[in-house]
Amino acid sequence: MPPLLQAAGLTKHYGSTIALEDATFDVHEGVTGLLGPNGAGKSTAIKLFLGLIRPTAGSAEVLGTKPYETVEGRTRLGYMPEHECLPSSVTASEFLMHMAQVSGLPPAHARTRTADILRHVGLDEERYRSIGEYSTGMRQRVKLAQALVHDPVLVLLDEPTAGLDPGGREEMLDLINRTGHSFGISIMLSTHLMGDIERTADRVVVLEDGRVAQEGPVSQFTKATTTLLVEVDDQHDEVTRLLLANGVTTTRQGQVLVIMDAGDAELDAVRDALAETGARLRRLAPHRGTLTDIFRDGPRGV
Amino acid sequence: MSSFPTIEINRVSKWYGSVVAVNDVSFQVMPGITGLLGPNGAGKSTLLHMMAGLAKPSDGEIRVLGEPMRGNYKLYRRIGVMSEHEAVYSVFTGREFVEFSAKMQGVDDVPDAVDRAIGMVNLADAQHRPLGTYSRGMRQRMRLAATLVHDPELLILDEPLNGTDPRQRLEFHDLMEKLASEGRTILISSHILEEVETLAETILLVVSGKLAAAGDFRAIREKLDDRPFQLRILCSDSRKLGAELVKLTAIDSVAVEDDGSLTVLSRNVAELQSSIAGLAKSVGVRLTQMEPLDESLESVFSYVVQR
Amino acid sequence: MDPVASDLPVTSSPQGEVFDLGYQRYDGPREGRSRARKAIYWDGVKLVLGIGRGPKAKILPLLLFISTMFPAVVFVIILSFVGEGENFLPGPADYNGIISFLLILFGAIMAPELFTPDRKDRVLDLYLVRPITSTDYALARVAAFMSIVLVLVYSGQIVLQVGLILTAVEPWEYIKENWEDTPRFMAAGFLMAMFITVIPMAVATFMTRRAYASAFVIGLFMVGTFVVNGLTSESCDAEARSEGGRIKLEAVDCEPVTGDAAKYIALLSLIDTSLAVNYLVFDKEDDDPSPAMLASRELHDAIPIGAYGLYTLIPLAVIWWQYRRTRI
Repeated sequence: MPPLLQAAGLTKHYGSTIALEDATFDVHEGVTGLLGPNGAGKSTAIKLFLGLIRPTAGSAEVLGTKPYETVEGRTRLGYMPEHECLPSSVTASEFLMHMAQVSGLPPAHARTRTADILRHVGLDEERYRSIGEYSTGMRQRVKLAQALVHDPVLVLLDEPTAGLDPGGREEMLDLINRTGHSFGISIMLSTHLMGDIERTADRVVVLEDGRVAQEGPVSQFTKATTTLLVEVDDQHDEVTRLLLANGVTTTRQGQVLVIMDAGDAELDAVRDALAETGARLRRLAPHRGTLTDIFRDGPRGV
Repeated sequence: MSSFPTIEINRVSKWYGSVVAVNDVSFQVMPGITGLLGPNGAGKSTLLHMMAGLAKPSDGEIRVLGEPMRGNYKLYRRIGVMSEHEAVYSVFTGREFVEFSAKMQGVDDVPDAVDRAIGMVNLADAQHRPLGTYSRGMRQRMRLAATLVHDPELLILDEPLNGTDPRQRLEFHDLMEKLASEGRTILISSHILEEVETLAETILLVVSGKLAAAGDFRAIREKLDDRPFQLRILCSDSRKLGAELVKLTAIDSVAVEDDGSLTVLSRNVAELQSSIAGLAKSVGVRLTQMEPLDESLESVFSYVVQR
Repeated sequence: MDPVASDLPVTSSPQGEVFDLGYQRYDGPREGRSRARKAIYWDGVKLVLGIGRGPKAKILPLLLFISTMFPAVVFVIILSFVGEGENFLPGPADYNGIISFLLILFGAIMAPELFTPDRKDRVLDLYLVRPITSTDYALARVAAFMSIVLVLVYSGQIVLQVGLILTAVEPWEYIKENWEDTPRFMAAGFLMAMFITVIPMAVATFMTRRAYASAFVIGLFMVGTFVVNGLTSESCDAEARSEGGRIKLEAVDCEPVTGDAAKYIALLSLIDTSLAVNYLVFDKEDDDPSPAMLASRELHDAIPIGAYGLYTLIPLAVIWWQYRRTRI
């Protein structure tokens, strides 16, 4: 399957400022995260894929076409901007119907699609109210809805959880998961929040200072290691002693006993030591990586 | 480390006409890092404004650093406030911006203090460039430097992590821990719960103008007894272990998931956690993994808000 | 039961059915840029007429429509009493002059509304990422406003024409002699509509607040008119003559204050230039010309037409250029 988005040596300079330098990456089906700080080139990459600016060098392709050369490629693309972009004096329903038509849908189809999409994003009851009366969370949903109404193949989301409180963020991430994994619409999610990517994305592209620093499946960065973590409330010394007696060495970090290269033998030893002491086991799990680790390991790059 | 509360909020209310933003709230903030959380519109910002001395309570009393807050201008010199609003004058250079703040706060040795503050946020290289040329994350850091330049004992930070990248957040984390270890009090309000979870020792959760929960979030979780704990267990024989677990009175339910793991609901999680290893051993099952599913700050927040 | 409807859900069936309400792909027609242009055009028309935006938004358009029709209706009523006395009543040519002030006001106040809200609320960004060009958007909006102005201009003219025909002593003769009036008023009306549409809209492309754009445009028209008419007004020598025992002062040797330059300065008045072109289309002269119009009569006909062309094409070019440049 050809990639949905393809950046090849993509470069954009604004005078002497380097926004993107020689970025090469693909975006395939599923949910892809574009992670990086502000100024790393995320917004520039998005604008290039939307055809709003031209590259200084290299190319950006969307569904096989160059978006800054023809506008037709945008028919199957959706975009949810970070900033405010909704009118306040129309209803969500009218606004969406209009946008659907601007994307080429005939009026009757635009009407039915609008009703369906608003139901899918959870704005069923409020769709005849004026957008001006909406809360932040509801406005984010309208923004997403207008990106989906014309049934795109891929949607570009720019900081979709910005400004939302934890409850709203939860709902938006849930909606993103549903869109990407249930509706079958591919997503490129640009954000500076690793939590958003860990909870929704299948793959991640990390940008730093205009360059691609990392790229790969999210699971690669969050996979379990062979290091075992045993978190107990009490009796750390007793448990340590019993484990040592069984040939298992541990190091202690706060409430957690860390065991390197843990296999079945070590697991059984831990179980037995816990059974004997009756210590309260808070957590027994392998140490997992997080996306944060990418940034912890020294300066830019791999 | 002092054991005096840095902030004392005593039966404080704040209303604007008929809108009650803060409703009879009382708590203490001790030195260290405290997280102030709550849904939008819950009254967090109003509380922060009052603690920073920018608004007066309609009722009740606020004491900061042992003194009443009302009209106490000398107190302001000991507090550093970083608001949610990120607008700055873009023609100022970073250094000028911090200098301005230092002078406003009556700092004695301005150049020295400014150097130190800018050093703490690692922006010495960029300090002579106009703020307009900074990325969002850099602007946040410079604003933080301006908040620190007068060496305040109390720091009140409203959404300080907006727009910062992962690397900057790690540095922020380290900086906060360092400042806290020096005996300062730091109050952080943020919607990014996963960050607050690693940073704050205690939290204050505000819902609809009232204090809904306070303290260590794990302890709060245990007090939510209408919510049984959910745990996930991986072992060598799920059904065998499951059958044994169901016999315990501490267990509400045991479910076998599609991936073979066990999801256990328990109201008396302490008993379960102390006896699981023994139980596994007695039936010869290898215990591979056991993790709480809803003990995170995220879950606690969600449960408390929904009550 | 019924073989034709056998695949429809039957509520009396003992077997239950659950229908998939999940997300469906869209397999229907996609009509490209032409559908987009139509949608943006009609959206613009509805915006100006206040359709779908509550009763308050409809007040201004309605008032203006009535006001532009009013002179025509009044003339027709007078005509029906007086009969074929068209020499002292304004004709189609003068009619445009009479309503021009109202139309300019309408244009200045309403035309920016088609550009500024979308830019201020940044809805424009959502248009620019759809499969249309920014010029598609701009031109559809210009066309929308122009259509409404055309309706305004033509409505009054049509009423006037019908009135003139019906009140003529010999309607058929009247039509035969004056049939040229119809294509003329259509052409003149079109030119006027263009003028009134593109200037405020071009100004609006520089601003995000409708009020500023309106104020600027009104200022542009008004100041231009007053200043230019002041500069082109005539000063005359007074000559005393005796007539029947009285001394009479007569104005002789009237010349514009600015002398030779006056005829060029006259072109700087937007209103007067457009009216001059209007009269040229009708091949008539204004019976009560303003100083600027008087001064510009000394020029060859092509020159006011050329100036007018500039005043129309330059704003169009500005609109095209501004929207080409617009980036998120």
